[in-house]
Amino acid sequence: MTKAIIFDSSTLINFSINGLLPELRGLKELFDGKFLITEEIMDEVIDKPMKIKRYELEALKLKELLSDKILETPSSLNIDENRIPKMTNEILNVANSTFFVHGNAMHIIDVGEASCLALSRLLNEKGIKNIISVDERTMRLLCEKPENLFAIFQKKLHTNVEFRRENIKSFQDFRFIRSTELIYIAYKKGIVKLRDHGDVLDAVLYAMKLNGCSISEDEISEMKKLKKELKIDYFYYNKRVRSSTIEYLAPASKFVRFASKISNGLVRTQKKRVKFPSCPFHPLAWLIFSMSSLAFSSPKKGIKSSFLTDRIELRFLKFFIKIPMSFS
Amino acid sequence: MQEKENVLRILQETKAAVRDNDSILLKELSNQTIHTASITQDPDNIAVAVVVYSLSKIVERREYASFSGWKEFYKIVMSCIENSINAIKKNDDKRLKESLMCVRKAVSKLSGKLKSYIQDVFRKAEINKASKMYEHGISMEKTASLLGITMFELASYAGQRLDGEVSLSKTVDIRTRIKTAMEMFK
Repeated sequence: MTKAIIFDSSTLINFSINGLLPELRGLKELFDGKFLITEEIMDEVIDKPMKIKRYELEALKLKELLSDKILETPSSLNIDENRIPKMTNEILNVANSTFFVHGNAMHIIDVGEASCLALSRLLNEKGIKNIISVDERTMRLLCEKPENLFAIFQKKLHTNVEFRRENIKSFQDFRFIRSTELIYIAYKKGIVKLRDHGDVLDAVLYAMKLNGCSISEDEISEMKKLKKELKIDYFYYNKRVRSSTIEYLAPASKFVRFASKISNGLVRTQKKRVKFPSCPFHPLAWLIFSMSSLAFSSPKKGIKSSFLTDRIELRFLKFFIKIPMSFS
Repeated sequence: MQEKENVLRILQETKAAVRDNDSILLKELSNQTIHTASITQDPDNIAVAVVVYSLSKIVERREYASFSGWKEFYKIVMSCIENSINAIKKNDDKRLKESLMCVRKAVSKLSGKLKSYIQDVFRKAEINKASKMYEHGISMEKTASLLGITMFELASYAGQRLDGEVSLSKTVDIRTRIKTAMEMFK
């Protein structure tokens, strides 16, 4: 079944400002569907900024994503693009007449955001599974929890706001993700290249937040907690995206490194140095060497990819560590 | 122009605050204008919000007074505010627009460092007011188009703004959202 992620300008701008467009390319390689943008979004992220020297480079980079078919237009899924403007106007009319102050309708969203909703609706009509990636808050709140948007208006505008709840029915069928969820997946799949240096997940999530993604610090903390349960799926990424030998060998070489450390009595776990008898023929070293050779020889059907993760590696080590301790 | 009485009061207080070099009061007045601008989205209301905020920043930086061209600029700004007040009193929307534009023209007449500094202040004021409107619940794209700035400019300002409404910005549990995203990539 075909599926699609519809990109709002806020998400694309966030990836672009943070220099994470290569990661977006990586995600597209993994995604068994289309990354779509509407003409209205194209205008916001490419055509307009192209005329401003300061943002011309960003616009060119995004344009290249279009040329390389990383981003595609709705017509790639046989969507009649002529229907989008009309449906966009319908959505705009309803959305911008949902909240009233002193009898005047508040214009809360604009044409680009509405065009994403219109495209999502057209894809739903065709039975194409889709999700909208949007970083800005208003559209997401309008569709997912309009009461909260109402509460924000009341809190911020210090006046009575009228909320026409009957309009909300038209916004209930949309699903959303943000750039933070996309970059989380990129991290999980090993696409974020900085993975071995410091707290990379923290760095990329905050970079996304500080460049317009509406995510709270609590949510980032929660994501980081999930990271502890996270298994970096090297093989999944390698099998599908990279076929170079070095990438295949990366997890296996970790086993070799562990094995050599054990041979030299250099393994530390949880601040305690574990004393191994320094011996090149240590049984644990041989066991890990054999695991690594299995990984070298049959990455596809040998060791499951999840087995080759940092976390599992540690558990594996903790389990076997008791054996040499008893020997020594 | 909507909410004229409110804007008239704000401009009268602005005039006094500029004369007294009271940047704190100017900032407060600027915050008041943004409520009106968010509700009405009227270009004149937005222009008032930008001008008042820019003046707060200009008054705050006292070193600008030592640059050449400052005295003329100050005179023009004061007369523009006075003209705006008179225009609102006379219900003359066209003259009000011209008076507000006159402040921006005064900037373009400047030269040297003062010109680039004050132009920068006005540009940043536009972005700041846009991010404030976003904070008030108007979408990023809508505020960018109202203030005549790009989404690129707004993005980094907007990202630092929303911590005050953390609980109201949460809609779906983060685990559920990640699960939804992961399902798309299966």
